[in-house]
Amino acid sequence: MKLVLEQIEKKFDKKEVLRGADFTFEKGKIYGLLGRNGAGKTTLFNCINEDIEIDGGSFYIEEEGIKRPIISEDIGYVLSTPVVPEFLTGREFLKFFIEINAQKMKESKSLDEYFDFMKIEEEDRDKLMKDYSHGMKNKMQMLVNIIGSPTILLLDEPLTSFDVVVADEMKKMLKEIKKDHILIFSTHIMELALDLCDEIVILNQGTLEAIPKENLDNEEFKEKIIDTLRGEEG
Amino acid sequence: MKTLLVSFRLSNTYGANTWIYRLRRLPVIKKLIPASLYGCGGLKKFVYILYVILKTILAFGSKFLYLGLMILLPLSILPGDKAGNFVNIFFFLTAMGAFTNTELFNPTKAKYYTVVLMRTDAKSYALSSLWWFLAKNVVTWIPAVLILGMQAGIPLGVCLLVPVVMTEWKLAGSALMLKYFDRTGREVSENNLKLFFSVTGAGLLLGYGLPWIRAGLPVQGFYLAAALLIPCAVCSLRILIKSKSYKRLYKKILNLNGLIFGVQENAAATQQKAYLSKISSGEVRTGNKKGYDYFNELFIQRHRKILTHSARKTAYILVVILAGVLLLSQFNPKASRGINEVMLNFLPYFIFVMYLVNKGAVVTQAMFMNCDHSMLAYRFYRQPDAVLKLFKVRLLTLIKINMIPAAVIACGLPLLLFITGGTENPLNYALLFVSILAMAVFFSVHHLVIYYLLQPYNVNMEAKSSAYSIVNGVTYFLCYMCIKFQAPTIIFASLTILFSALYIGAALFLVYRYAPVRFCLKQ
Repeated sequence: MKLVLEQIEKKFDKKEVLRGADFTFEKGKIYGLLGRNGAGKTTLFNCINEDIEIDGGSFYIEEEGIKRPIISEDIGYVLSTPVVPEFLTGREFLKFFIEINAQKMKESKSLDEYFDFMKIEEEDRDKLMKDYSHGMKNKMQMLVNIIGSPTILLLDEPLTSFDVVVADEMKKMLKEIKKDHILIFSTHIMELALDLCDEIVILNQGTLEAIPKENLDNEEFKEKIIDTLRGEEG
Repeated sequence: MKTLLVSFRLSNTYGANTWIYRLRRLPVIKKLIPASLYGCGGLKKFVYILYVILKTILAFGSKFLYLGLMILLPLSILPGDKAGNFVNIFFFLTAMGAFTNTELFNPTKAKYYTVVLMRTDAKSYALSSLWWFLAKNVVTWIPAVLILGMQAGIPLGVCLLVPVVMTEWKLAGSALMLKYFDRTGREVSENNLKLFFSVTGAGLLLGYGLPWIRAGLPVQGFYLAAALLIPCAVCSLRILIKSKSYKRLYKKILNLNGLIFGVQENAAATQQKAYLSKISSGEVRTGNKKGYDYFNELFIQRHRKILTHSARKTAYILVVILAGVLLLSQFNPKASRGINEVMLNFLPYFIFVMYLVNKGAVVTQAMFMNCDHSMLAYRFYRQPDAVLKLFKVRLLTLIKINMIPAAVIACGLPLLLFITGGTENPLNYALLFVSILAMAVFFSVHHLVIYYLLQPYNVNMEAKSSAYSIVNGVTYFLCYMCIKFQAPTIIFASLTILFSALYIGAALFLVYRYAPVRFCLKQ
């Protein structure tokens, strides 16, 4: 299964943020989307998630040679600032989410099993989410996005708000689930991208470009990425 | 002086930019004004000059308005000597203003930018802006007091002393507040509500109250007070000039929650915090509700403080009012006839009442702040059938909540009609009852539909849709206008019921048609 982006264009007022972004993302890989501040990473995600309309181009899923448009169940989107309904407890939110998406869910576990999977402590499960820390909210958001088991998982700077221990747990978790998903992970922390991702994709001047590692060592690879980000020939 | 000029330029540029920003948000004009206007020389200068001119006109005009409305108008109904009453009202209102309109203690955006962000020296900024404030005050008061005051027959001496006494008071007030801050280190922002209400209360009471009991300040007393205030003002001046607390003061008043309203994220964060604090924790009972019913039930119960509890409170208050009116009608035949007349001819008035007791606006606001703001980020929540399912559940709950106070009015009005002598046409009872309930349903539908169709906020909780504010404004205006409108209940109630039914039908149609597309976060 593939997610294909073809010549995606998006502009705000007169500013062209995406100018014909082209790329094919495949299942089973974690893609690290790198870009400088304001390069349009979040805009690209918002376009794929259909939060904003694109001005040109198209994107679709290709499955065994058959193209089809993306539907709601295909996408999970974890925002950089986690948003959860604060008037619910973690358990209530999860219960609600599972009830709503019951038909689409492939496997059914108990609520506590899900919390265990995400390493959310027992005492936190029945607290109102308004009292959750940033990292906890982020975990909840990640959890409900993952349990729906969407084909495409967009993660916008997801690990930056976690402490090192949780970030490590999350990394392991993402590696664990990657075989069933197309994971696109935006960040501007290069070490994280190199450490976690199978492929590095750079968003620069509104277009997407893969940086093949080939037989470079890590330092050379970093140099190459930075050169590309600067807009120089690598 | 230089500090002052810099802060001027800053606040004026800020003001002009705000104008451009607002203009760019209006539907049609948006297209005519490019974002580059912010940086464009000529046009920008034009807006800038326009802004300064308008500010100047306002500065002068507001004094005329204040003098006319707050002092001269009440003079016409107060007993006793005109000039005496004038000085009394002026003296005490100005004393009140010395603490509630100070410049020094007013936490403004301009101060935040100048002192906190641009790190201008706090003391020189504070003093220069205080001098400017006082000078501006004197200059803008002179024409108002000379023109309006003289016209009203106030002696020239008094008129000339007006700006002087005002300056004396303002200096004294500021110095006193500064001293208080030095002593206690407590926040003394002039927007402090406790301070504001106690000082304002006292000022108004003394200003308008004393003349009523003929104990007002005589004109000679005013001259004496003006003279006595001179040494006070001089002392105050010394305190103000010598003080070293300005930086500390600004740190305090400019960092308090919600006061830095100039910074958008902060305003939104404060607003969100305020809404989050309305969430009640504790037991909730959801029975065996599932899915959106379960979700909505939790929302309502966790917001019971502002929803069900507040509706109940309104209902209790209405019961008390109703009981009062019932009693009145029993003991006062004249009032009784009047009430009977109201029941039969003034039903339009109750549109405004029903508008006021309706919880729709509060509910939708809370829905957005504490629920939809985050939930709309989830794609499943924006699916057409999810939007409509939740809309239905919400509408029913909203109607249920609004029925609590509505029921009191709906039962109360026919009861009042019956007790005050009844009517020849018994249909009136039924119509009163049904039309009030229809209004309750109407407003519930209206608020929720408007919210679903014109959802005005973006991710940062800034209202982005002027259409939403316009619709709300027009709704308020129309309801308010109904107060002035009389019609026989039979006709008006029938029309209300018919209109409600049609409106609800049309509104629901529109929601089912468009809400799935329109109900999303604005970009």
